[in-house]
Amino acid sequence: MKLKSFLGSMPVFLLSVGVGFVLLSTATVWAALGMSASVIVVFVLTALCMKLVDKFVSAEYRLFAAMIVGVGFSVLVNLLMQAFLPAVASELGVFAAVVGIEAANIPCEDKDGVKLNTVVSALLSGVAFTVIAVISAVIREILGSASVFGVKLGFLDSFRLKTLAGAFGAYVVVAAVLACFCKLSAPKAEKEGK
Amino acid sequence: MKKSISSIIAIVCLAAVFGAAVFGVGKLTAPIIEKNNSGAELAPLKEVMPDAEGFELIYDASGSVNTALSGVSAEVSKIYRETSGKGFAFKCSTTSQYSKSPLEFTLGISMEGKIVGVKIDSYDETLDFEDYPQTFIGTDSTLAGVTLHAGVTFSSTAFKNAVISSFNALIDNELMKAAEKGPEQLLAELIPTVHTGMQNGGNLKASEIDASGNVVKAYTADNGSGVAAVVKKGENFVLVVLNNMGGAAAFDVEGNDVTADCGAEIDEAKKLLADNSASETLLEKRITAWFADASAIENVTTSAMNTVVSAKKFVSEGKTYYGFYSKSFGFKDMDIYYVLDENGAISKMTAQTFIFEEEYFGAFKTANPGWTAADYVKNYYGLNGETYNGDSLMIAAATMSSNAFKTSTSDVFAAFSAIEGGAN
Repeated sequence: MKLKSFLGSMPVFLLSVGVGFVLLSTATVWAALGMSASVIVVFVLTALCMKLVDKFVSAEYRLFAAMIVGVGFSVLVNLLMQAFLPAVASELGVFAAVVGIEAANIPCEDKDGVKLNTVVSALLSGVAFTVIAVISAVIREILGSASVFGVKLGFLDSFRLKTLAGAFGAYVVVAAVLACFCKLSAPKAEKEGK
Repeated sequence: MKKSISSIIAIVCLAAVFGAAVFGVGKLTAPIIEKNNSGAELAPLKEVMPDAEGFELIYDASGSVNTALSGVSAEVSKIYRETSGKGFAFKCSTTSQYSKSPLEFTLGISMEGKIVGVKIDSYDETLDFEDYPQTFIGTDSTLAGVTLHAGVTFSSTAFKNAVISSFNALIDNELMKAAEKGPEQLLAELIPTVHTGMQNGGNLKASEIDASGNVVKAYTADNGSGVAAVVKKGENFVLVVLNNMGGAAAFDVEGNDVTADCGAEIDEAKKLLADNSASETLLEKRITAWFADASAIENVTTSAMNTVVSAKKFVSEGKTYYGFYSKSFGFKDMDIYYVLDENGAISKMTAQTFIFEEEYFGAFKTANPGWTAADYVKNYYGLNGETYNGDSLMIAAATMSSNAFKTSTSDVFAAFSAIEGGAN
């Protein structure tokens, strides 16, 4: 599998299923890390489960099965987070449960149409989500809220851009990070404009 | 077909398995989640009552709990009883004039009836409250010693009233006894009633000054309209109020007028009066500007305790007139001058700090096109204490300023009526 080719499909993957929960989970670094951990666990468990389910379900019914599995695991993970990680769960709110929908749409092939190992694909999707979410969160929290990991940075208070902490700022930052992601993961020939 | 049927069966089995798993995990985690949720809600309450063991919601303005409490003011949204008997916690929400959003705070009151903690949850005003809420800690339901925060009068008044409502919710429902106010506090609270020049909207507009001898507490009006002093008289205390025109009165804790019996106390309080020559000079200058031939200008004594800071009598063209200088509290502090004829009708009037801006007086100017500030003032000419109706000259968009005019005009008529020896 070509890593770059796979990563290049990440922004499209996120955009196609609704990037809302990505935006909401990047308000603070803790929220981004919490959401990322939830995403990785649900994605990997869903992929593992689907490896077994694929033996019994035909291709035209796969999506329904994947949605049941993905949503099931995300609800279970959400309940466990509410019980044992309440601070993180309260920051994520309803979006912790939305992960299940994403899990049903894990890419099975890369940009060039090469088939992928779904478990590895799920893991890489989660890691890619983590990178995008954490980078966005760091930018938004430091520049928008003058804090990092909830710790106030007093010397930045007079320089902060409150817009970045809000919804509009979230769109701008995530869009910029996704654009950089696309650029970095573009094949060399594409970069040179050939 | 076979593949479709097996796929559907597999999907149904998947749904059943995950459904059972979610049900099971849900049942196991429900008590833990419930405890977490109540902990999150109760965390602010713990901040105002750190040694609390737990809280029980006994009143919710939204009606979510059955409650035996009644008559709770709208400013109190929730009341919690501390489960080990340490006291009560309150969630309050209040608004003030001109506020953009509600002021929300959490309050803790011990079983001894004292405030043990205050935390502002939401305050969205540009002017800073600073440590004002912390001045309430340790006070009881009398709120003795608590004043308003200068510069943030409206919000601090709203905050104080919400705290009073919290105490009243407990007192009225017999969950707590009201603390008894001492005579000094009772007399100090009488000041806005007996000397209206030292208050605005019921709030004392005076600064505490040094007291000595039998004077235990003394205040001077922010607008220079007089002095109030709590004076020891034997075993008791009396409130002495003075204006700057020779007027004096004394009251006991019940609010009864005891002036006739308090000569010594009044003389002692008179030593606290500040020099009033600046106001007298300004009034005299105003009189001579209007009446170039004014003669025999002399101070008059009046017993009115209001916003009038100086009163004079003079003669012009053989007629007797009375000049008054009133300093009421409008959007800004107002300086308003009046001349009344010998019958008490307004002959001249002007305001030094009256701003006739389109923004505030637009509605008035629309109804009265071409009018200026001077035209507004001329509406008052010829009115006396009997013909004056303050409400007819109110300007809706400039309530504070037109209320100040109303106050000053009413006070001047009262001062005229109370001139010693009568006006002649």
